[in-house]
Amino acid sequence: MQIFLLLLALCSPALAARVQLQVESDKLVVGQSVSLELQVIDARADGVPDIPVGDGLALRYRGQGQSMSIINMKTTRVVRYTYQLTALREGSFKVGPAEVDLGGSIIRHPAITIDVAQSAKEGLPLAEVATKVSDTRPFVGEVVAYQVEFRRREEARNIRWTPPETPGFVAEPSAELEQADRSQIENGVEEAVLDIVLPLRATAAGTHTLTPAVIIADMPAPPDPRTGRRPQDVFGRYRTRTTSLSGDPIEVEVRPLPRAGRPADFTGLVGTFKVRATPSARSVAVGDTVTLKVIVEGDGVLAGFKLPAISDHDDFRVYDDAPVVESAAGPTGLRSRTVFNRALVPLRAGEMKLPPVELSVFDPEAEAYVVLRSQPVRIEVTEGAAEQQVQSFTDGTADSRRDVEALGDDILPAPGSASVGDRSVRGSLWFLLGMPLLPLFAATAVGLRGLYARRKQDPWTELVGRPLPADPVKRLATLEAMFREAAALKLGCPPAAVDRARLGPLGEGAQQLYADLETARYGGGAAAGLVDRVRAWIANRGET
Amino acid sequence: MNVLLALLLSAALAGEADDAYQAGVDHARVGDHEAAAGAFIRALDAGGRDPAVYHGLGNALWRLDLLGPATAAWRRGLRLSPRNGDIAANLDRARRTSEDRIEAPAPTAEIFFWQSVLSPRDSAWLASLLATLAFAAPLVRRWSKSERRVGLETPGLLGPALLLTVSTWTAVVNQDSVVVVVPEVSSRSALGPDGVELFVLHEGAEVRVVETHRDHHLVVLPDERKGWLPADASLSTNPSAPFPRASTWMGDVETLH
Repeated sequence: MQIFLLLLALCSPALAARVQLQVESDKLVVGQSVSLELQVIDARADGVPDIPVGDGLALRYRGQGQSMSIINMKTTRVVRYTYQLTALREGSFKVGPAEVDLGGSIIRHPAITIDVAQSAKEGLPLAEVATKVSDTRPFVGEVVAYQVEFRRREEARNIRWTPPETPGFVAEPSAELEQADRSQIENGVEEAVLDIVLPLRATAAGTHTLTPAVIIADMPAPPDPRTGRRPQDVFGRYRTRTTSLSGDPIEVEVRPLPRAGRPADFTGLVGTFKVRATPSARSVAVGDTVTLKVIVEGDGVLAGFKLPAISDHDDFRVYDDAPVVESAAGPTGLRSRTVFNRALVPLRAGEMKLPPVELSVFDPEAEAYVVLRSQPVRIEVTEGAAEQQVQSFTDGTADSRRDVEALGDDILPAPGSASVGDRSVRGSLWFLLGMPLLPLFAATAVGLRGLYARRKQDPWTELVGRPLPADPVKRLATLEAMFREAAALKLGCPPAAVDRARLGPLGEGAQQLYADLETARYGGGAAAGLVDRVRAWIANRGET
Repeated sequence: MNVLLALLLSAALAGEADDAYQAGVDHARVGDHEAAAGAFIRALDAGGRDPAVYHGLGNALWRLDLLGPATAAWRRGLRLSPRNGDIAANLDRARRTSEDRIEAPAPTAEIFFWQSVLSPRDSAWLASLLATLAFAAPLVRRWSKSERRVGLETPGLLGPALLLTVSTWTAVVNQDSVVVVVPEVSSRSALGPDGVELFVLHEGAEVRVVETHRDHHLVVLPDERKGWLPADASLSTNPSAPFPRASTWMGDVETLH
């Protein structure tokens, strides 16, 4: 009954679903972030509820959790949706009303009012966060640095941060987030500073607002106003309080790349770059290799950029190597450097003139498309003296073969003859499923058969139905064995241990049967009557 | 019975697919790439979803200057045979001529590292074989009169079999991507008139699909930007999906013979 009631309680949530909206504090200062929680009680919302907030606040969904409690046999389930509420400017703003869709029916929680005041300026705050971007008017494709500076005059532990929401930008994947700790002295007070630089690449033109990044840290709790001392735990350590701090939102205008003046060979690079080309040697023999190192570096993204190819020339052949790209985020954005190694093999003696490397890029500083050029390179090609010297001490049978000359490049052909079939998983599905099922069925059948075989038969039933041989001697021996087995079952001992003395608890009838069997075995009495008596005794399960 | 029917049907279709493939190769050798593409698609329709067929089809479409469909065909071939270096080289060449400099979506999940060398069919066969051995092990123990009917080898084989099954499932079902087959297509933030233009993709660009709604795909770029593309501007890289006729991209010209 108790289990039934418990199940009933678990399976029947309270009829009245309700919604609660709780905020950690309804009085904030500009830049402060607090936790806001929407509780859906005894119901489940369809999706994450969207809560409208005033334009002086920013709300960001952080996660959800749920709990269940049983009080007085009544189950209450609470789903908690947690948000981070950040004050952006001074004023009084509404949060909500929160409307939760419960699969068709809407439950509403009235709006709550949040008062935002300017942060107190008197005295130095114990910790503060400042945010800025390196350029508030970037072009599409340009990388800007989103900088966070967390300054504190108290010890802070377990520092973590929440990156800003960056509409119109994406975090540049080719460079990692930069973090650095330093200390500085300002107005005679030493401060610890954590600098975070996040490189962002502008992707969409227009005006966008970057929400402030939030720093969360465990800071010392403020002194007790009654004692003036800081609270301590049992080990004498100062108690800490989790504090959220954020900077100001930043408005950024992303400008589109101008269409006018865009060169046909525009590489797509946006940034301030330089290009230079340097040969590994100024003189080289015919057939030897000289490496032309082309370095492109500057502020901008170079990941994925490929150098314009040079087709093979009458005077030389060209082999490009995989480029090496290095990128690092800095206060001005993204500093990148790519090194291309281009192997050149001269084919004839004389002066080898390499054309300058030309790249059309958009320079945000000049706000125009520019063409970057490297210096032209001249290399003196000699007759291949080294090769002649090597051949000079051979007997004239030197290897005079040459590499097979590549005249062009094309796609690789398909096999000329092939037996084609369905090589997809679907094409082999029957075999894939059938193969393991065969031994599975066989193992199951064998197992079931074993179980059936091991099923124990009732020994009394088996004794009653046991056939008796026609030969009188064997018949009597079987009859005696049946009696002994039945008596042993009754007494709980082995059949061989059954004797007259042990049969006492089974009554006189059993003792008499035993005596008659003994007599018949030694030639006295009639075995025919004994058959019916023994069978009847066994049929009655040893009861006379 | 069903297995027997499937065997008979696949044997009959295999012969037809072989003939169509050989016809495609012959057409390609004499430079009739439109007819070659038609023959290779006939081979696909006849059940020949084979890397060689997709290889030949991609080559024929490439010769017809159809960069997007050729890329899709080679990608399908590579998904069926990840170790095929010739298809990989052709695909790399096609990707280098594409206008958009975006990385191709990873065809496999990182944790299933073996998928870079094992095709879904290979891993499915391996999973099936391991499961067969796992279920056969108790029978062997019984015949060898072993004292224990079930040993550690059964769970030891079933574990990798289950892992390979999951990897096959993700490779077949969960790794969908499309290739843009029109010269230029805009991606929009939402379906309907409220959507704004987010970015433009060009022919040959390969992007991952996260959702499909009626005649649109929600695609995601490597930098996590998302947008909706019309489905008829792209072609799936799933080898089991139907492959449209080459005439779809060649205007009113009848290309099939």
